[in-house]
Amino acid sequence: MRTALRDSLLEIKEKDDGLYLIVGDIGFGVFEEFAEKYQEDYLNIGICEANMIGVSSGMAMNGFVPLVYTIVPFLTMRCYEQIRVDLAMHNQKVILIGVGGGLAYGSLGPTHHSFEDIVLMSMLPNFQVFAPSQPNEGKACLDLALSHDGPSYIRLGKNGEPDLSQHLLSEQGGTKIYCNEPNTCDLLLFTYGPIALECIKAANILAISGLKISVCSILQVKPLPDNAIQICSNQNHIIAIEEHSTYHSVGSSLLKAISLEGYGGKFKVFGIEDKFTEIVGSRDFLLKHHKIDSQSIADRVSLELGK
Amino acid sequence: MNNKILRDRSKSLRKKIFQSIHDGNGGHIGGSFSVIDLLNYLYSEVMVFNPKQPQLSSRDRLILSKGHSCLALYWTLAEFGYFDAELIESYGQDGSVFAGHPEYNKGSGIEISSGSLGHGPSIGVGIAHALKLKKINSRVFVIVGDGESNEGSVWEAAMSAAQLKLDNFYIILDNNGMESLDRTDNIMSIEPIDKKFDAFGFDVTRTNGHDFEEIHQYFQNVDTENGRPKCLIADTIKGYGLSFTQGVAKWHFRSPNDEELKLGLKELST
Repeated sequence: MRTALRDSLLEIKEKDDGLYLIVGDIGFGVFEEFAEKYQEDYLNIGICEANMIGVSSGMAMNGFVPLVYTIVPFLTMRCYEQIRVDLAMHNQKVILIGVGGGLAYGSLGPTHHSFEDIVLMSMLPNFQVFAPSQPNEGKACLDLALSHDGPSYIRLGKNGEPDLSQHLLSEQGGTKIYCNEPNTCDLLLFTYGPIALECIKAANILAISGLKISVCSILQVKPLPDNAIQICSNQNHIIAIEEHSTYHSVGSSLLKAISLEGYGGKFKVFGIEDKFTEIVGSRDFLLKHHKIDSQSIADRVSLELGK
Repeated sequence: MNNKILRDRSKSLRKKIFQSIHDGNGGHIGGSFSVIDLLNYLYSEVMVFNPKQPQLSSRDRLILSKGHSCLALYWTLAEFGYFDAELIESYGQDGSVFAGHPEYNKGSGIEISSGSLGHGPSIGVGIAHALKLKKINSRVFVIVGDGESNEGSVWEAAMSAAQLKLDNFYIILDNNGMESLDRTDNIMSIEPIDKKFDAFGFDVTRTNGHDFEEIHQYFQNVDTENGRPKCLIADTIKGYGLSFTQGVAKWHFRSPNDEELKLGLKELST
């Protein structure tokens, strides 16, 4: 996903000379071409995230559109107050791009995991938040962030996420429907980010048992897209699947939004419970550990449906 | 430079600050009085600005990173035509736009919202870097407190300023020697602060922050195009200008009572 985003960035940069890329000494093998081609508009600022955010704000105040790139926990939590004051409070057009969202850096240990970032960033006024689920959504994310007159946060996975187009039934804006149409399904899985793949796989597993599971994946998680709220409001049974804490989550926001629309069905969130993941392993291993891999999701959905 | 005009202006600004803090039921007197001579000098003698065009790209930028001294900034900006003095009279009242820390407003001359310490230097580095890239020959003055220099982010910014060769970037340290509760040396000493900034790649000068002649000499001689950021360590006295506020910790944040107001205004009028 990060290389797809890099390619999109190179494409956009050709037409927009205000873009300025700042990296926090992260991105080996990702930004060399950009750095070479646009030496004047690239800065490896070093390992100083608080400073990196302040610098980006000062540059945005003077006509640049900084894109700031590093690993999610360092980008969002290390310097949260700088983001709050320097970017959100000043409403500066800076695009934060976090790599390794959720459990993508599973084997590097809990300092490198992120299951709080989406809610933390969504709480900040003026911010828009995006979480692409597949490589071809990178450009859409950048376009949306660039069209927003304020700060944005893009949470990426890592690399190697597959294209999900073969399962796609329909899409409107960044809201995509996979596997089964919502109006004919037994249950809808609501999701965002690379874990959409696990939801699609789970839907396919459950299809063998004759269950019709619809998967609704959103690109923009703040503000929640109106079309996703409308789709979900008309369901009877929703489970939000998130590579994020369940304590506060996008699912919580969705439930609030659809309740206001009169939703009275069942609703649950499956994600990372309120604890650090101290066990080490690959992302696939840790998804299984948290019971949000495809098979675990399928098993839990079966149980929910009493099948 | 006219020393008498500067001295009279500082005295007048101190009176206004003191009155505002009384009327607004509180404010940071100590830091406002230690920094006001520096603000006065910068706007009187150094800064390139036009209050009628506050967003002019060629303006010099002043960032009051030690935002708690906001009344010194508000009254200085009013003195130099950014807004009507009457507006500041709402300071501390419900519905006022003049908070106890400055809020970013593109039309007011307030370049950034500050109050959480240690943010100004990095934003200033970003501005100075942007100006260099755009080949705009303007300067960025960031006023930092000595207590504020406990913040690690000040030093992250200092390293960036040197790395990026920002000779248009100035840190002006209002070194009044006191934090909120005690002397800086008793809490977390920043000395030898001149050697520290020198080691970080700055051109450093130390001066008396209340002596306009000394400050003037610095700005007459500072080399502006040598690829090195600048640091003026201005040794100041917290609460300077009033006999009963100078160097007294309790005047870090306080509202003078009616009797103290009367005494203070009388002393500042002589």
